[in-house]
Amino acid sequence: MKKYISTTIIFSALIFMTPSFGQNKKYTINLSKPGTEGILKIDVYNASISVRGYDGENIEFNIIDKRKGKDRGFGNAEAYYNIVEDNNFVIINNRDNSPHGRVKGLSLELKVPKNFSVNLSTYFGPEIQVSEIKGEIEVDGYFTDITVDNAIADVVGSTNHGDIGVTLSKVIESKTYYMSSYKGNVHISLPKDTDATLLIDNYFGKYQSDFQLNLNAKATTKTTKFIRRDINGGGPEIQLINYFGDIFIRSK
Amino acid sequence: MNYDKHKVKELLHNYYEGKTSLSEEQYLSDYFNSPRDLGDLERYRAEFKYCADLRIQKTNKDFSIKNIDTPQLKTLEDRLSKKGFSLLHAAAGFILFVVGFGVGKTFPESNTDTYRHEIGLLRQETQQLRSLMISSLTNHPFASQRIQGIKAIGHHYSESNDKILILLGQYLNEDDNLNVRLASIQVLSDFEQTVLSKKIILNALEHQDSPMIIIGLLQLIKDFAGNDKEVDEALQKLKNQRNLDIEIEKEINNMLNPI
Repeated sequence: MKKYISTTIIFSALIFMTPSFGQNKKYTINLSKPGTEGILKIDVYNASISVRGYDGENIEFNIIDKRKGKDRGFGNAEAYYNIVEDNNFVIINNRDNSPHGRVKGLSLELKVPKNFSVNLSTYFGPEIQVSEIKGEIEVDGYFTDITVDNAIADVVGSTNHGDIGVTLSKVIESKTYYMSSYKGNVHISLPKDTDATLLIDNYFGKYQSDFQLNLNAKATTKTTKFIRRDINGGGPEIQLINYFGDIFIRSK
Repeated sequence: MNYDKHKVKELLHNYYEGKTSLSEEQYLSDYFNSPRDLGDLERYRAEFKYCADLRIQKTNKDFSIKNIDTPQLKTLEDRLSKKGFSLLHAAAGFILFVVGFGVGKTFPESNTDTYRHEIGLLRQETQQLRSLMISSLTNHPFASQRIQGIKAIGHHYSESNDKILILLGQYLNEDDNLNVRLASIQVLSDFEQTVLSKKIILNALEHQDSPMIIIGLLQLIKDFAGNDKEVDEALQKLKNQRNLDIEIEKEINNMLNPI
């Protein structure tokens, strides 16, 4: 009984659905503590994911359905996902091991309060986009292009067969910046006055920079795997790794 | 309800091929969650029970909501509940480390046993707190913090010991974030090779499915493990057992047959 009541309360208090028209369906995930920081974790097998920080207090969730052919026969797209909200932790994932995870043509678009942290992951999803998020950003894909815009906190991203592009609004000493791609290119854009130390590890590719890169004075016999280069005298470390792509460091 | 076991087996086959419909999955779920002797199909019960548990209450015909006690959320909650505690430990560890270092530097040189004993205790405590700081970071829910914890190992320890190598090996094999695993490889590459580190690297080679990690390990082997019988056997095993990325296959061939 207690379980039933608590589940009912959680459901009724947290999720209100207001489907719109056409192939897009919009929902609001009401947060336990609206407007305050929280975590959004999405782990889906095959969907593009777009998350944008906004000034609202709850999460706006939009499913864009562009399925074609046979994929349209797999029922309503909304049925593919579990959504759980608990104390501002929101988890969205594929409902179970059913074939729905393999269906192509779905995009999940979300607007979250700016101070949220996000942890986003897809395997076949072609794209992950994150913008205007003040919290930590963790993004993982496999056949996925990753774009992160205007990040100010930690950014940890990896993809195997896609490009990864990150624009940092500023680089902060205590934060972690760690980007990797196996066969794609890695792009990073930094403000002109950034003080940072780049740790570059690209085995079979090349790297290009708009900044003048100076040999890092602290380079020791340790961390021999990395090419260590300073931008404007050096500072917080930014690690950029790829194997068969190129690395581009841009000034903005 | 009566179930046709042949039909169940056929649906199971289709299920794992990703060809079942929602109603067919419901049929399977109902079958495996019913109190009956499943015979040779008993091993599938746990999986379908888990799937059923995920659908505690349907919100409407479209959405389902997971039980709030799902293991995934629980783990996240557990890790997050440790966040404040961990950061407190990290801060305390750092402060005591700095204080301990300062005290150690400014302590008057003395040959008395008391001073030596106190300094020894302080160093021991500092060491423990430093380990605690690293431990708190490496258990953090966000990969960024776990990477910082792993990098801290590289910064704080000039030489490896078995505990550190085993910890790095655990992250290399078990962390679900690829960049955390890459960070582990990088710290492993900072330490001199030992018998244990070589075993950890070769063992990790067997357990990885990410081409990025595999090629990172191959580079590490090239950098310091060199080729010997043990390495060649591990490479051969990898080459034979997996449907490898073509670049990795080339790399293994180059390593097995150096010019």
